Amino acid sequence: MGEPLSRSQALAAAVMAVALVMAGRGASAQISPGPMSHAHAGLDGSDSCLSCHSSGRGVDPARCFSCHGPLSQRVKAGQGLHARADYRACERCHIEHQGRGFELVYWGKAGQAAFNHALTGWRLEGRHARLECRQCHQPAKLQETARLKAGKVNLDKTFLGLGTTCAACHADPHAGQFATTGCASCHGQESFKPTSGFDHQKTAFVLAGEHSAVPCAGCHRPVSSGAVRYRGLSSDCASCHQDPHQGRFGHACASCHTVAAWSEINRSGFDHRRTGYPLEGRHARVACEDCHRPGRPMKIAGAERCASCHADPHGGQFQARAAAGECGECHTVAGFVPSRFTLAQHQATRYPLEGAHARARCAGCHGEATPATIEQAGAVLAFAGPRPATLERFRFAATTCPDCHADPHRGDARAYLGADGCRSCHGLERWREVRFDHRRTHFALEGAHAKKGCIDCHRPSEAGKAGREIRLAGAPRECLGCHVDPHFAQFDRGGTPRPCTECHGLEAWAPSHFDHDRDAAFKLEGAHRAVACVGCHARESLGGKSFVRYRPLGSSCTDCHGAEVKP
Amino acid sequence: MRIVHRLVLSALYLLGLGTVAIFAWKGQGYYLTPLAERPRHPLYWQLKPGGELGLVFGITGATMMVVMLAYSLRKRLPWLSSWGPVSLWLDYHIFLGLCGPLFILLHSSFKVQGLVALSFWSMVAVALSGIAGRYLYRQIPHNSAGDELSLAELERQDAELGRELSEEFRLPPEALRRLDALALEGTDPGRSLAALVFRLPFDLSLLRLRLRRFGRDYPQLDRVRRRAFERRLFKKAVLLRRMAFWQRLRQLFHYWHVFHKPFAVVMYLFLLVHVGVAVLTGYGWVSH
Repeated sequence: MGEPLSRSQALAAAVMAVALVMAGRGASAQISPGPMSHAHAGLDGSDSCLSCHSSGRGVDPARCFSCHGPLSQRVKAGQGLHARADYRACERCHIEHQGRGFELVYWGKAGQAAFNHALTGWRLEGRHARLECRQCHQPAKLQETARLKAGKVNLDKTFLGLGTTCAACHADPHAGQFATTGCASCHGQESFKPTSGFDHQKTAFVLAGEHSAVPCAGCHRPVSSGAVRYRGLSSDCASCHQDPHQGRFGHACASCHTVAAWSEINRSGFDHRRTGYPLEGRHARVACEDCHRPGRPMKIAGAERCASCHADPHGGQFQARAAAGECGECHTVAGFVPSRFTLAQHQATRYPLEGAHARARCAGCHGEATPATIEQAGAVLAFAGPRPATLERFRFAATTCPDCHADPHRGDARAYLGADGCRSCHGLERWREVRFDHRRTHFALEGAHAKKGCIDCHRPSEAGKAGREIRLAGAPRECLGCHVDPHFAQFDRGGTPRPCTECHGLEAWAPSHFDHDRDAAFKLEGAHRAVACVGCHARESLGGKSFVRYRPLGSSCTDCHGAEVKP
Repeated sequence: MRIVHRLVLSALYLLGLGTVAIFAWKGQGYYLTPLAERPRHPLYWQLKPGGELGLVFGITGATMMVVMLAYSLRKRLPWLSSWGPVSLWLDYHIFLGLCGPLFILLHSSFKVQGLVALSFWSMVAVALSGIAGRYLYRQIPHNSAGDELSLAELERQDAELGRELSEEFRLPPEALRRLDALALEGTDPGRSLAALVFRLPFDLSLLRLRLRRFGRDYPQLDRVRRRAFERRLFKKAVLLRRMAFWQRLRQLFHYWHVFHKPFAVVMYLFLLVHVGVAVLTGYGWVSH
C-alpha cells in the first residue's frame, strides 16, 4: 500500500470520476423517470420535461393541448370526455414514462368494449351500443379531417372528429327529404325498421280505413334517384289510384268512395240520378258492385233493361208476348214479388180465370216444372246460366183440368164424363159441388141415400203419394157394404145376412115396418101387447158392445116370467 | 444523560424503522407488482414516487439525508463543539443515514432507474460505507468525547488493565505475558489491509473463544468475578490488538473517508438536481 492520498485530492478525484460517468452516459437522459411511450417518443430527454410539465402544476393540460390542438378545441367547447371535470388531468389516464410499449390509453380491466360512452356526452343506445369502436371511429367517417391532420391527429387511431348526427355515419336513404326533421324523429337506434318513432297519423295524411293496411311501399315508391319518395306526395286519390270511371264522375273520389273500402260507397255523397239511372225501390238498397261488377265497365250497357243485370227466371217463357218478356210488364223495382200482373190481365189471356181459379194463388197453377216439360208446351227457353232443374211454368200445352189437377177417381168416372170433362160433374166454384145423376149408375139413390154427400158413401182414401183418392167404382150395393149391423147378425139366415129392408125402410132406420104378429113366431096377445119392446127384448152386452136381444128368445112363460109363474 | 440519549435514539429507530416497515407491508401488493403493471394498480396514485404517499416518503427521506449533514458541520464548526460530544452526533447521523435511505427506498417504490438510479446507488454506497465506517471507527479507540486516543494513551490504558488483572485477580506475570501473546496472535504487520478488514471480525470472535479457555485456568473465581475477569481479559486483548493495528486502521479510516464522502457529495448533488427537477416539473409538497 503506497502513500495515501490527501483527503481533498481523493474527494476531488472521486467527484470528477462520478461527473465523468454522468457525462459519459448523458446527464440529460438521467433526469427523466423513464422512457416515454411510443406516441411521445419525441419528448424523451431532459430538455422536453417542460413540454408537458410546468412548475407548480405538474403535468399541465395546457402544455398537452399545445400539441393536441383539436382536443383542446373540444375541451374549450365543453365537448367530449376530456371536457369533463374528472377527466381534465391528462396524466390520470395517460400514464407516461412507462416505456415505449406501454399503452397510453387504458380502458380499464374490462377493456375498450366496456367503455361507458355516455361519459363522452353521447350515450350509445340500441345497436350502437353493440358495435365495435372502430366501426364508427374510422377515418372514412370523420369530419374536418383536414383540421385533424393539421393537428397531427392520427386518423386511424383517433376518437375525435366523429359527428353525432346520423348522417355522419349513415347514408341518407331518403335523399334529404327529412333533412329538417332528422332521422331520430322516425327511426329508433335498435333497428332502421320498423320506424318506431314515426306515426303517420301525425302527418297531414292520416291513414284510415284500408289505407291503414297498405304497406308503406304501396304508396311510397322509389323515384328515379332510387330513393323512396315520402314527401311531396299529393293527397289526391288520383295520385295513387287510377280512376276506374275514367273521369266520368269527376275527380272528387271521396264524394262517393270512403277510405274504409273502395266498395263502400258514401251513398249520401253520391247521387245516382246523375247517371241517368235513378235507384229506386230495391235498387236503392243493393250494393254498388252488385250491379257495377268489378272488372266490367262502370257504365252498364242497356241499363234501362232489367236483363242487363238480372237473369230471366222464367227462361224466356214470355218472349212471345208483345212486350217481348220485359220484366216491367209484371214486376217493379219495389220487388220481384208480388207481380203486378193483375187478374184482369189474366182474363185477357188464353185462359181466363173462373170460379175458384180466380182465387187461387199464382203458384197454385204456375208451379215448378222441369224445363223439358215447359219446352214440350212449345216454349223456347233460354237461360243466362246453366239450365235450372225446375222453374215456374207459365206455358201450358193444354188447359184441361187434368193438365193441372190429378184425377182423384183414378179414371172411375171416365165412363160418365161428357165433353166438358171434369166439369161434367164438378163446378168451377167448388170441387165438392157435384152435379151427377146417380141413376146413371147401378145404384139409384133413394130415400135418405139421396140426401147424403158423395163422400159419405165414396169414402176418400188416406192421402197417399198420389194424393187422396175418391174411388167411384166398386162401391158396395148391399146395406152392410156401408152400414154396420147393430143386431150382431141375429137375423142372419143360414149364415147369410138378411136384407135390412125386410124390416127397415130407405127413408129412415126407424120406425121399421116390422110386424111382430106377422114377421115373428111369437104373436103378441093379451097383456103382451101392452108390454114395451124392452120388456121382452132386453139390452145385453157382447164384447163390450151392447145390443138388444131379439133372438133367440124362449116362447114359454117361464122363459120370461120364471118358474113360479104358472102357465 | 447517556441513558436519555439511548432511549431517544431507540425511540427514533423504532419510529423510523417501524414506519418504513408498516408502509412496506401495506404496500407490498403494489411493490411486488411488475413495473409494467403498476400503473394499473389501485395503489399507484398513492405509492408511485410522485404519488400522495410516495412524495411524502421522498421528502421525509431527503430531509433526513439533509439533516444528516449536521454531523459534518459539528465536526467542522468549532462553535458547535459545545453542543454535545461528536459520538452523540454520530449516533443521530447514523440513524438518519439508515432511515433516510429506507424512506427514499419507499419513495422510489423499489423502482430505480435514470438519474434516480445514480442518486440511489450513491446513497446506497454512502449508507453501506457508513456502516463499514462505523465499524472501523469502533476499531480506533476514542475517548468519551469522541476524540481519537493517542498511542501513548493506549499504552497507558493497557498498563492499567495489566495492573488490575495482577492485583485484583492475582494474575501472575507469566500469565499476563501469555495473554499478550494470545491477543497479538495474527497481528502480523505484513498482512494486507484488505485481509485485515475482512478478517478482523473473525479474529475477534476467535480471540474471545481463546480467552474463555485461557480464563478456565483460573477456576478459583466465583461466577460474578469470573465475568468481570473475562471482561478485563477481553478488553486488554482487544486493546492490544487495536494498538497493534492502530496505525494501519487509521490509514484504512482515511481511505474510508475517500470512499464515503465522494459518494455522499454525488448523492447530494443528484438529490439537489432531483428535487430541482421535481419542483420544476410541478411536484410540490402536495402531489398532483
